[in-house]
Amino acid sequence: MVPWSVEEFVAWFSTTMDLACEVPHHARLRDDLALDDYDLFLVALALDDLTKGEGLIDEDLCGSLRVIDLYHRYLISLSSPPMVHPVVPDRLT
Amino acid sequence: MKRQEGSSGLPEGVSRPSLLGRRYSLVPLLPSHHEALYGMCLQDQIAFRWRYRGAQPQFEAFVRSLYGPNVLAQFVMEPKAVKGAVAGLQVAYNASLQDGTVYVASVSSAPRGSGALEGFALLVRHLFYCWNLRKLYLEVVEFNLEQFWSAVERGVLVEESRLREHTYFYGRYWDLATLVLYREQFEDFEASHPMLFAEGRQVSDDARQS
Repeated sequence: MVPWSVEEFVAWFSTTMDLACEVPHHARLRDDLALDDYDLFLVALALDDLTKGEGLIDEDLCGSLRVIDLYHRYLISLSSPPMVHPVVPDRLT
Repeated sequence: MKRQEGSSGLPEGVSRPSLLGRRYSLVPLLPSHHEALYGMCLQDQIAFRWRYRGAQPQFEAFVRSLYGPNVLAQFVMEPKAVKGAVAGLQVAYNASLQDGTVYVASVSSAPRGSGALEGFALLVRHLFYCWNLRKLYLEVVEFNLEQFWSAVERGVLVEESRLREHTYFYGRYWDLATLVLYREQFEDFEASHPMLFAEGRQVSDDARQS
């Protein structure tokens, strides 16, 4: 499991509120980030709470992909401590 | 004495167990759902994980199995954006109302991913609203655990038993774990995520007033 917390992610997101992100439709993102369904569910709920549910997440929470993208941006924004889980930044550019 | 009523027609401070979530609704299982559920349960990514474990029951036997006498409540999960579509099935079964326990199971179509958990949360809330249950049991084969193991790590679910090497699949035997969701844990979850259930209450109240 990636060393993260929903609270840290939400705090980061609340400072950027970057909704205009491209969604990388890469099926392995879920595996690369080692998030399970419950992780993604929590992130989606946190973003719902933060944005008052204004359409940030896709209707069916396949929306998972978009959540992953936001979370991925959060991870690569961290400079210290280094991530211990291998993310693949070149897939996001 | 004049009774104090809230907008739901119930006494002030009492909520009805809405089956509306943010993206999904739970609707009663009807014959019109049978074919879609049959097809879903036989999908290759689901068939070996769900109750039939790779077997293909005849359609009539499948339908009979949906209405077993041990079912307490069950609902089809429907995306609110696509009325009538079948996204999954949420079931409560083998209840012991004397002991305050019931088993719960959830299956969803492959692309839904974490969305299935919204339907599951709606079922759990319905169960705790309508029955004086203490513990909800989930029987989970080892290879299914990774889908939501973080819920155990976070203390939302508790593993309370494990049958070693109980279930055969793919050349080996896998453990069968029993996870437990306590009422208190769910109430904490519900209080922490009011947005998940807020729309359901809003829509219900709007529909009643219209």
